[in-house]
Amino acid sequence: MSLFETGRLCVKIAGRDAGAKCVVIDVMNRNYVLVDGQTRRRKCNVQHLEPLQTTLPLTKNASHDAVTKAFAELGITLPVKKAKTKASSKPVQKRKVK
Amino acid sequence: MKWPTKSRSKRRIMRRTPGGRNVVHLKPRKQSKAHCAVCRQALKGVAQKGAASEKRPSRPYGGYLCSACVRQMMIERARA
Repeated sequence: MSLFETGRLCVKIAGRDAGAKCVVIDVMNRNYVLVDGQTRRRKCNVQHLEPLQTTLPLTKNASHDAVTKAFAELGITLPVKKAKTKASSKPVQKRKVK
Repeated sequence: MKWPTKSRSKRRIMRRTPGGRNVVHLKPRKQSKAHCAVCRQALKGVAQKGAASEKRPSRPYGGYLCSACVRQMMIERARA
């Protein structure tokens, strides 16, 4: 039984998300797990994670909303990503012809 | 020949011109390499040219601490 099981709360200690809290969503193999939370939802090497004592009641491959709710109970609010407006949907400004 | 500057902040390059004169060209000095604030090793991924965000890694403490020191600090912080 390794520390990195589904629901284990960890801190990412390397990379762009260093210092961010994340939870293990899915264990891929001995070295890689899928994490989500304050970090982006991504595959991550266990060497870049520091496990904490707490575990969250999450199912395997939990959705980002489930993770957001679980983090809210911990008192950590996750930023809600605004849906990207497609470039084509924006009104095209007519360029004034000199 | 009027000497352009006494300041030592420019690098002096001695050149001989095709006319046989010896002239001194002044060039800016290169910046010294960035070093980690904790372990004093040269930082990787710190460039001299390029846009502001390209000049340092996009990791927290990028350009200030080396990756190993950031990792160590994050572990200590997590275990505190």
